Amino acid sequence: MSGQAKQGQGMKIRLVWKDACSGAVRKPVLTPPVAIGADFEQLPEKLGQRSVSRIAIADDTLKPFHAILMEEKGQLIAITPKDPSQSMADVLRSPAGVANAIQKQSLNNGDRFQLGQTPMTVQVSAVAQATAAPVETEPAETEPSETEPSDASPAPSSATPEIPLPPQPSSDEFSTRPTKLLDPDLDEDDDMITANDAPEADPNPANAFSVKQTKLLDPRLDALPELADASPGKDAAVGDRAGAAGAGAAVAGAAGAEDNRVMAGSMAKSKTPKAFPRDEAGAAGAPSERSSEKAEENAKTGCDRQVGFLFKRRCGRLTPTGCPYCRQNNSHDYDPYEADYFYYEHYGDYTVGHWGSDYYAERDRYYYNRDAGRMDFTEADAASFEEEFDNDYEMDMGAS
Amino acid sequence: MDPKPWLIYALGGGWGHLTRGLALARLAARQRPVHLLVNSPYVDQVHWDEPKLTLRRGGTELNSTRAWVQAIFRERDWGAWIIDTFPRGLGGELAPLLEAALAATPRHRQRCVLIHRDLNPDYVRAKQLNTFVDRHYGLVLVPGDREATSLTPATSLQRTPPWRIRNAAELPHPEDIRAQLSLPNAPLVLVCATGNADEQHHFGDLTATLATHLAQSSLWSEGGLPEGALPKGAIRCLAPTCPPGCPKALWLSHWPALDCLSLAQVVVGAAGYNLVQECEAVEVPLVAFAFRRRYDRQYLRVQEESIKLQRRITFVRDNQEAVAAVLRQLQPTITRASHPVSQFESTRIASSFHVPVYVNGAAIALDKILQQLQSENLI
Amino acid sequence: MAIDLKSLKKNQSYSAIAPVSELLDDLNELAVMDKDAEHQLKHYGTLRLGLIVGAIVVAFLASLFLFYVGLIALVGLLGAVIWVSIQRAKYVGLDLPDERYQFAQEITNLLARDMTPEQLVQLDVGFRSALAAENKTNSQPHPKRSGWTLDSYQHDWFKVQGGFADGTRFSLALMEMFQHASGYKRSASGKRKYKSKTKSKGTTLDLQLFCPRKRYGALDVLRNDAEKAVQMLPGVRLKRCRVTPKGLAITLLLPPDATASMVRDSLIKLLLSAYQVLNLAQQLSQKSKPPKKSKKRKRNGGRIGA
Repeated sequence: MSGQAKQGQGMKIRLVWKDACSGAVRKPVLTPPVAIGADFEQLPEKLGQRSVSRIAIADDTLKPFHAILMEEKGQLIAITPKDPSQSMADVLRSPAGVANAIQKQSLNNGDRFQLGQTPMTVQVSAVAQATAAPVETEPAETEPSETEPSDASPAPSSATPEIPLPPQPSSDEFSTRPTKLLDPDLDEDDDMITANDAPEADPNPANAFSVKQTKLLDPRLDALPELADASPGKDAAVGDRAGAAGAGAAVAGAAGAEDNRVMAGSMAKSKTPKAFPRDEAGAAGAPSERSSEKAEENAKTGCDRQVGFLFKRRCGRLTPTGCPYCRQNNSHDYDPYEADYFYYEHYGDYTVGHWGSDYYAERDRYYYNRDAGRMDFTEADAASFEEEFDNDYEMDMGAS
Repeated sequence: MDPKPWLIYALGGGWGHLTRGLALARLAARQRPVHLLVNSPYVDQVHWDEPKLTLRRGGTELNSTRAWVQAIFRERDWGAWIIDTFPRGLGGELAPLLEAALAATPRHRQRCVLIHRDLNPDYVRAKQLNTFVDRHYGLVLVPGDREATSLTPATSLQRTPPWRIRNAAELPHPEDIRAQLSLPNAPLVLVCATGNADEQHHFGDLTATLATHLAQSSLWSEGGLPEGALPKGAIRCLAPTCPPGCPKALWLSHWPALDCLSLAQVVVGAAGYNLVQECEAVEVPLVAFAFRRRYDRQYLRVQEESIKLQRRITFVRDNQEAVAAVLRQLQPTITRASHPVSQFESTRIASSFHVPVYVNGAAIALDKILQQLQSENLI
Repeated sequence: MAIDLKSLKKNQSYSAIAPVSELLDDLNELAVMDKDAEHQLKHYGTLRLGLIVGAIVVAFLASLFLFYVGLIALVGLLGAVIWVSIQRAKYVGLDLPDERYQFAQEITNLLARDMTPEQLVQLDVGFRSALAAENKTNSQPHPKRSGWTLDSYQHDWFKVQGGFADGTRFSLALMEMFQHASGYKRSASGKRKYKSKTKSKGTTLDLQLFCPRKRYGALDVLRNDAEKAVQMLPGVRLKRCRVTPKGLAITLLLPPDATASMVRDSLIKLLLSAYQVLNLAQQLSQKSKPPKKSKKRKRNGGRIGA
């Protein structure tokens, strides 16, 4: 199937990749343009007038802002900097002009490519096809109130002359492998997909554990409340030790929303996959020095898995020893407390017919609509709550 | 050329910051001018004899104190910035100063020293203190072998023995203190009214309660029995001013408290850094309350110390438990005193003071700071 | 952490502030101690019984045959009975009700799921009988039986306080309530006999959560509906559900015949109910909201926090 989509209808794409940290297969449906990088905060919210779907992937070989996928004349194209040392942020600020600093490559439905060390597959569909599968749709609008991307004008970069993208042998570069592995149709039935459907195994042995798992997509991962609070720059992740991990919580907080801000690895900004290697031999057998470094870093920064019973949070354990979640062959599906959820019917479910569905359905009103009678939680209040925790500290000069 | 003066930041309520800051400052001031910034309400109680030590007293009003601190940090080129407990300052006022200093001089970090008393981990997380400390501090000292450390910066933590306001050799003889304070020649229960000003009434009430209970015990009382029959015991409340509820006759004022502690059979107080470390120094049992603090974790300290000091510290929650704990600590005294004893034996009990021998961690900390500055050619 | 045996025997309670791992170690130690005490009590009890029977037999034989030899043997046996009784008494205070520390173990483990290993927990477990004098809360003449008294007891033998990894402070207390009626009853033959009857009046489970406002700031929005989120086992009644901007408090009343497993199950339901509210509050408090689903998900649609 071609990647061509009818102009005017708007293009929807689905990116499929396996999160090296959690092992979860991510497959959000997005509206181009899509900004991809390692640091959510550095990805632009808008390009020109168009809202941008932002995807942060926990991959330490990615640049903070690595690439853009956008629609150009009905064709999906990938844009990366010409200079491998530059990030897209540098390119967009480049005084020499954007056109000369980028390279483009067209992508078709089912194409496979690799960003950093993360293999990805793209599925391209016109909006009509995408909306036929609303179950999985993750809307592309960063803010619901903003202009529909499909109605927006083409992004500024689309005006640049099309430059053929040369073959990129380096894994650090954007390369395409037009091998159609996935069912091109965006149907509802792929709510659950397995590793067989997922992109191919991560070549990095340190990530072998994640990739080898036969993994069901766990939608809970998307919807989990993050332990880190939503305000950027504030570290609330339990178990974060190093500064980098601390800052990571900020990204995770922003990514806690189940929108187009997909954050692979959920809580972690740290670009290094952090799930424990399956065993020591896996790490020791790493052919490259880089892999063993990564494994070492894994051991330092702790496990990224989501754990907890009442609420989920980043695990952060430095060793699987004694971890109740790592008892069953490190399976990411294994939840030692799952049986106890049966004590509460539809725990965590706020959809129609369940407790809290009214609030959940209209959750935006609690924030945006100050005139709503039921709301005593305005935007300003929320902002003050963001700061309140901080304000509790460093406000009393007589404390000790 | 005169060495550049050092600036020691020891803002914070209670005695801990003040005493810890002063412990280091008075040693450092033997070689160079030192300015010590404090805002403890007890600052008027302290005294020192180092001419090069300047004590600068701040208030507690947020904005004015922040501005006051910032003005002092900016007023000259200090040889070292030594910050007690709060890496960003008690009001966060040091953060912009440190950032500006680092931007101006990348090596500025090397002259910044943090004294890491335990901090609430929530605060550490909320302000990302580990990252902050890594960025701005070249040396992090932990003033105590067992002090909990919530910071885990990449900069390695260097532990020293606990810091004391006096070296062991400088402690006055207990008999001199006894004479100076007109204390009877008898075992002493010393209630140290440490903590914040609004907690003083708690210790006042406790002193009165203890006096009542011990008097009722009829085994150990002050003047309630025929002269010479029993060793008289004394209860005193050590506080800068007589705490509310405390009988005036039982109030005692002396600084530093360390001088008096070795006179005591048992000390009662809060599990702040100072009192816990000082009681350990003179090896006197402490009956401790753990007060809630915004940054300090007294409950953790009392727990750690009670386990590791083999229950020389007893954790109590209320006055009733405190009275029971004090009575337990006095048990050997009561047993002895319950039999008629001679004046000789009474004197023996009272004068069998343990001569404390301890290492003052402040001196070691000073060496470490000097080593740090010398290795960076900053002095 | 070492258990203070003297205090345990005297106060019949365990109280500690420690990380969960240490508390569990202590509770395991209590279990071992209890099992040992049970064994020793049984052992010395049997021995004592044997000695008493022996003494009776010897006394009987002595009265028939060898009086003085029998008397000496009898004195020896009685001495042995006293010694055995003393030995047995050493373990009396250490024979703890199994279900109490087992319950404490279970609940501590349950709460630890959402705590960080270094977080401290204050655990208080009482091992005294519910009808101990200090638990008596009221005493009044029996409304129906003349000359009888009706005593009310409240026995809060389990309390645990601490903090979860999300910054929420929790306090969980269990209280059993009893009524003890006692008095003299005249039998058909006209004899007066002292009779007493103890009746359970139920058990309350009280959960209080104090939440960080930054994370759960919108909790107050759910004030009027939080009660409906509480799911309970049949027979359990919601006694209180109070929501404030800073937290929530829920009290359940369990029926008098509640078993230990019913208490445990109710507690899990209670915790999940509370967090069903809190997780939604957290969603509402977020600056960036998850998008609305255009269609219900097939699996775990809109599911949060589990």
